[in-house]
Amino acid sequence: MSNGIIEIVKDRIAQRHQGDKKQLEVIFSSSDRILVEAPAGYGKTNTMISKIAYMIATNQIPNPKKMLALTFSVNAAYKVKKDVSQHLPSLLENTGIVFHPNEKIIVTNYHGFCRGLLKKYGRIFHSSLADIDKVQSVDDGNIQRCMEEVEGLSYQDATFLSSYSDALKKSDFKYLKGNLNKYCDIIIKSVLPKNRISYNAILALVVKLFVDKPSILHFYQKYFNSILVDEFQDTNALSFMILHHLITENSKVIFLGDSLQRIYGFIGAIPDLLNKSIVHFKLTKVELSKNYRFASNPEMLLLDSNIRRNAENPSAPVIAKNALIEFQLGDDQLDESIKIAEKAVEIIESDATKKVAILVKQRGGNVDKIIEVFHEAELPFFYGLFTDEDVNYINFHRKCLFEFIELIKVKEQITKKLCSEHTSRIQAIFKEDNTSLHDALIKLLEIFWSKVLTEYTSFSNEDKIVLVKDTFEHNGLKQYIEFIPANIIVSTVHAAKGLEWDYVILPDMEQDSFPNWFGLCGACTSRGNCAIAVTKKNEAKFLEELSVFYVAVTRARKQVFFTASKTALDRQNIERSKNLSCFLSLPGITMK
Amino acid sequence: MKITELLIHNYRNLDGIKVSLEENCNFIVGENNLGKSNLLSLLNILFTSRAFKYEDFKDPAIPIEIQFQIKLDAVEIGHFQDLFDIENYSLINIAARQINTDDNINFYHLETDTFISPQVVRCINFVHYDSLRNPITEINFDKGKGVGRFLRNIISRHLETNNISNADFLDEAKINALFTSINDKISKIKSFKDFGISASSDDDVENLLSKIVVLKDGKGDGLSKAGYGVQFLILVVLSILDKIQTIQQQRGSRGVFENEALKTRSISLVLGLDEPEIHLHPYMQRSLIKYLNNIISNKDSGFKQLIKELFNIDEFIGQIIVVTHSPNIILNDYKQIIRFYAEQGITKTVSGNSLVLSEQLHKHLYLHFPFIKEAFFSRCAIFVEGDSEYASFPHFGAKMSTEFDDLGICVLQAGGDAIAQLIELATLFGIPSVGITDKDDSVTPPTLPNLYTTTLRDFEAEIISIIDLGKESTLRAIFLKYDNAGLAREMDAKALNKRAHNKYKIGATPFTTALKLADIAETDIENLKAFYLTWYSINKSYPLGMLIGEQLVIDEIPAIFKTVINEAKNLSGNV
Repeated sequence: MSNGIIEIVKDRIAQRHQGDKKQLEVIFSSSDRILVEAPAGYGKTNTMISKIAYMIATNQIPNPKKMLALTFSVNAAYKVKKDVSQHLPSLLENTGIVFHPNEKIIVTNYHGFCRGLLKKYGRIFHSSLADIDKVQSVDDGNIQRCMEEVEGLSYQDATFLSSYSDALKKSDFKYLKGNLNKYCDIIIKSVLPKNRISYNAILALVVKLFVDKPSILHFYQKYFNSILVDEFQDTNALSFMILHHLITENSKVIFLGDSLQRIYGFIGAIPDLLNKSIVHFKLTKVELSKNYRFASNPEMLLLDSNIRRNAENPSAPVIAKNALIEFQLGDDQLDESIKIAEKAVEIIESDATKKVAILVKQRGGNVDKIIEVFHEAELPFFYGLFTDEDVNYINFHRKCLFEFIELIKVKEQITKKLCSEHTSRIQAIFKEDNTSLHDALIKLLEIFWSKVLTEYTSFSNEDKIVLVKDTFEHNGLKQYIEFIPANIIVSTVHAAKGLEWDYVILPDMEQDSFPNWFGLCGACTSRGNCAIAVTKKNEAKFLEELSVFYVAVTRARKQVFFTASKTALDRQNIERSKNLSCFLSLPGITMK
Repeated sequence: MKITELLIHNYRNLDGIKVSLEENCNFIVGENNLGKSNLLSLLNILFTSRAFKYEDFKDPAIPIEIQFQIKLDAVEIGHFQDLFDIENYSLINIAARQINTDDNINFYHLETDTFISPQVVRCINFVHYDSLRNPITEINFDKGKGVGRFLRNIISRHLETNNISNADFLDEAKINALFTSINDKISKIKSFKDFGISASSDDDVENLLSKIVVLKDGKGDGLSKAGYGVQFLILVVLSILDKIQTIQQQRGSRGVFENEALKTRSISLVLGLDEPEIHLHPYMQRSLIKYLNNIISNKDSGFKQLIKELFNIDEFIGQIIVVTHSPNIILNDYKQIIRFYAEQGITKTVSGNSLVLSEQLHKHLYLHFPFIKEAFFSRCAIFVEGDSEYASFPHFGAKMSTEFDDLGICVLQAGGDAIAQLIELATLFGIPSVGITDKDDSVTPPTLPNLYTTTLRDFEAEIISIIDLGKESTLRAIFLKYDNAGLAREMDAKALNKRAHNKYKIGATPFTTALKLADIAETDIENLKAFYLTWYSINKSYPLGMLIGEQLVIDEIPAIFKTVINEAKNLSGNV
């Protein structure tokens, strides 16, 4: 390609990114190894799309090699693919160059990639893998459930599978590597023959395939000349091992992530992954520097920035100017709840197209009180109080997955009929269940199926199956909250990851609540006044909780409102007096 | 991409055939009517057509299935996405299946049964060339047919890049004057007038120019006067260019493989040539193959420049498959040979590169290969030691009503030690063979069933032994025809002792005087033998062997030679 054309393409990208130096540095970087640290709202997705488009346009992915782009979910992968397809033609307009993104880039997530690989080559371990779409998934973290779902699995084996799952949650690389063969052997001998596979085994078997069959690994090393990973901070140890194998000294590597958005530590996201990876993969780090989300809201901009300063140096953050935050204090939980309802009404009355999310750290008596008030005020809202550990939430997805696999065993084509058949089967299973959770999940399921039928029209049937399985397997219905036609959404921070609303209300900014007792307060030495001193001892826990706080704050496009009350309901629903959350008095934060 | 293996089911007469190919150059040899050309047609259908036809099905009631293996160059890795052979990632095994005669060919990854688009498979770029094409109808600029498409395109490119119109080539005043003159005459003819037919110029400059441009040789003669050989040489090469042009127009950048480090662009190219030797003399045959080999291995700088200029292609990843009946065309590597032969009327194949040979055997075959190429085309090979056998055997055969050429028997000469190994090699290639070596001093009989030794010491001893049958006159006749000195020829004592006495053990004591045929009595068998053995030994050669072959009558041919020739006749008849 001529230099003239490259200059044209560069100009177009520079215009699109309004001269943002850091974004352009990432996009035009001649370094083959970059780690992009991108806080929420800093234009990460746009930068990633332009980077991919630029690499394709400047022929950095020579035919027929591919870029492997790994995103957090198949849903996110779809969005990336769509964005690249839309962006690339305008970038290359009148240059005489035509590229089809599909010829250059494979966008999926870790599990999607591994499923595809096992479907083709997993048969050397067990024949059932050739038809992996029809193999039921099990969670091997829970010994009892695993034994129930895998007929004939011994207690001893189930215990081992569970301890392997624990090691993954703890990112214990030594244990994971040392026991990889033993783990895979149990899966191959006792789980796959029962037409079951565990989520972790999908990744572990691929690691084993790479180790046992170097020819397979070498193929993929040569096939993917570039590897891009989005939401890199959420990578777990097995995924990391897959990256470690795939990346050679010739690979181009682009990782994008934000250590402060790592809120999945409890399911195995590796601690301090970004810094470790800089060394391991010899990455050059580029930090995006401009916050677009709060560009026209100086106070929010400052709040965002000051939270990050606290994360950078928790014991002594460098703060230039304090952020003034919108805050309301109630006398008790009821008073706070009424204030929240009033705020929500105020927002949607000003503009009926606006959406407001009330995001809580956890479920319990306090949020129940808020809901109660909403019900009494006959204020319609969507109930999205999901947590990833909630047995009912997980169980709903497991039933969805099971029924889906049963349906495609009969007929592989995803049709409108299959979707409605699936929904009615799920409704039948839960017909005794009248909880808000169940109603909400059914709504999400319906929305999900309508999206599968209308949005993903460019997907092949096989891609659709992968999407559906990935969504159910990873408890991903919560991602579809964004399509719920309600102005008010009550949800948890964890369920809200990756979603955005115009306005966000963060209630219960109180001691033992946000941060919560397990996360930080229980063992805190400053329980008396909640003026937390961050030391080496509590730093890791502080950062975990601060990440959740940061994710919560950055779910807002326009404004966040904080509320709290002087009391909170404890587990026995007894009103206890509470201090304000230490997060509201972090260095750099001042309440209005 | 290179085709490395083929396993054929239900296609014409090649059902059950397995062929293993070399990566660069392959020669398919064998007799007529075994299906060699069918193999090229098969590849042509697989890689350029939509479907097999009714007549391609051996049994129309069952599918045609062709399993083939392709080896990918490093830059091609990924062309079939992530489908490959798990034991060797640069290979892919593909099954091509056509369920019935109305269906199309579908391609599947053999191990995973994943569908592979035919467009992807076609990027192998198979060019089928057979010598039945008529060069003169193609090699011109104005018809745009066959390779003419390519020639005509050169004109188009020139016009396009230089933005040229009719006015740049024609003097309108002069041409109009010509038209006036023509039309003045022809308008007087009724049919021209009635239908309004008149002379005018072609409005399209490309049409116009393509009629002006003709190809001429160095003597200024048009190509039609050049020999067929020249025309075919041109046609073969232009076929390649025409193919590249067509695929570029149809396919864009798919199938163009980029080398990231070197910034080069390659395409795959597999040439299937059916009897390219027709119309070419032996040197030209080899020269053509070497030229094509240079083209596909990117060693011909002129051609390299041409494809870079025309198509922006830097390199080929190429393979040649030649069906030939000419030993001349075969290069000197037995691994490049795929031999078709018949066994009980069924076509079988042997591929040189799939033979597992001991190192010693490999070395032998490698060294002898240039001299034994002919065996690959025969129904039976007779391996002999010397010039005398080589020259005389065909004549012996003729006298025994065993016409070697009719039966496809060839006589090949090799050193005595090599014969056993050559029989072994011939067996591996499915070539029936017999061998005969001199007994010399050995006492142990040969171990191979088809390997014979002379009953007496050697060829000369066998021939001279006809004295014992009272046929001295034949030996004398040959001697007289051959030796200008005639009866005056003298064999001195030294020569006699060295050969007749020491080697053939004639005479109880060494000779002390010379012998002259004129002086030896007809009854002095010992001295006659001594003389003839010495003389025949000294003079053994191709011409003498031929003379022996011509002169001996059937009863005089030594029994062991008859045995060998009869055995060869039997073997060739079994084929």
